[in-house]
Amino acid sequence: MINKVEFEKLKILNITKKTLIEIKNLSYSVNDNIILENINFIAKEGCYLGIIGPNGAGKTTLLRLILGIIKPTKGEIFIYGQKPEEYLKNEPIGYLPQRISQTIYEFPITVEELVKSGIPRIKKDYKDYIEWALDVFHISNLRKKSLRELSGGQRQKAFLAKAIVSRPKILILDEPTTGIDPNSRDDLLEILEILNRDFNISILIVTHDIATFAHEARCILCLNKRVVCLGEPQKILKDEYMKMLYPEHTVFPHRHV
Amino acid sequence: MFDIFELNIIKRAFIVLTLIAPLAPVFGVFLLLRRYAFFADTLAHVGFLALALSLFFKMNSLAVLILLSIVVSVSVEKLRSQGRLPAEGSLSFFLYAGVALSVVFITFSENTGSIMNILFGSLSTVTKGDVYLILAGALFCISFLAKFYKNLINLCIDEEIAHASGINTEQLKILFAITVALSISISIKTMGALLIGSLMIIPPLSAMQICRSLKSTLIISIAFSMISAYGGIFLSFYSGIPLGASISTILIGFFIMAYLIRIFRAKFIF
Repeated sequence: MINKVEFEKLKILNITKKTLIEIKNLSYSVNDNIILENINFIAKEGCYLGIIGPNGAGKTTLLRLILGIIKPTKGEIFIYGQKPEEYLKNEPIGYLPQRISQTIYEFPITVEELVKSGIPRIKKDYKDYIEWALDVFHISNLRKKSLRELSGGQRQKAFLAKAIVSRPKILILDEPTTGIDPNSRDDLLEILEILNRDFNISILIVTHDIATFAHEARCILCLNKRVVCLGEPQKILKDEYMKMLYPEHTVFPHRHV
Repeated sequence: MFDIFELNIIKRAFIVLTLIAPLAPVFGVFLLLRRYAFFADTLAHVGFLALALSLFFKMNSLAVLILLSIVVSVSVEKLRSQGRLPAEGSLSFFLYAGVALSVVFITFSENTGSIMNILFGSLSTVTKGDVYLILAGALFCISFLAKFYKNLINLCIDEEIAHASGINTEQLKILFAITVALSISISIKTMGALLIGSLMIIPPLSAMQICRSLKSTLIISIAFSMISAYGGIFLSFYSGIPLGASISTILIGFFIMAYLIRIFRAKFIF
């Protein structure tokens, strides 16, 4: 199988950009159960990296390691040259986990309050930040609505607005398109593209929805406990292993036709 | 008719409730958001143990109460964080341990006349010395809330998102546990071990019925709590019902009212 790819080959995007995330010999296991093994890669500033792989491949674990929520068993992670906990002391990372506790949906909290909570370090012009985040996700009209009155897609957008309101340099999303209809999904992907292109927010996105991300992501990392392959979507999706994981007919649907 | 405010015990009850009535529901909101409403109950039962211990060893009950509650709350939070016990499991364990051991100590104590006061609160149990300790505790709680309010909201919404935004969640959880323990300790003598949870949980539950935003929920909860607390003093004084029970009865009235308003609004307005 794969993982003969050498470290140098794993450099993403062009080398003139700053290194955003560097992962060296990363392994993570729980009670001798190996979740991730010897992961090496570099992601550059401004990247739009799609992370794919089968269930149990360690995708969410990789995100949680990058965020410093869990500590690696072996190896190191650097964000702009700093360890995650050091980086987070000065800079936030926008994050949308796979599941959010249901309790918050039973509680009276407005979209505006939720988004405002995304600015923990108080800034002078915080109102402009909130306006911007609400505008980006087209939910300004929902600002006074309580979360419990919203649909799944609208809640997702509210949480995304919270994730970006402090204008983080990095946005990490764990299966953000799960459970929302195709139109909302397309809408969401378009916004992510704008955030990446126009606001220079680097995006790491875990998904099962490879068909969609074949278009948006400029780089794909396929995980299955190890790095199976990494590179531009068009090249990666031709990889034999990828074909086995995702049969070709699901790989290139023409979403924008 | 004489003025009840001439009585020192009433003055003290007013001062103490003015300090704790606005604080308790704010903590209640955060406990409800964290699905941790029983935290208040567990700590209250541990408080019962602390009062039983001080009865047995004839010590300053409030100091024992504060120390024991803090130790237990930090232990519950640690066990929960490490995933060694399910959250409800560790809460139940300390609740039953608190009650069982209290009964053991009370059985062997000489003066058991104040059990009703311990369980259901009283106008007269707060001593002059207690007032200063309660004031210091309340000031600590207020400064904690003022400093960490936003971080607490983030912690309650989602721990991992809070972590990603740069909040030291482990430290905040422990600080929160300590402050909740403190707020319960300073309230337990007036509200009673069995009913302190009601002052924390019922006002936000009532406010949730009629409010749309977190801000209004907090404001309305504090209003419900303060009106019930002051009303409770009069009810207790004139009827002889223990203070905690009087306050809780008024709180229940507010909950029913808020619930009916919600039903009425849903049927006839929206």
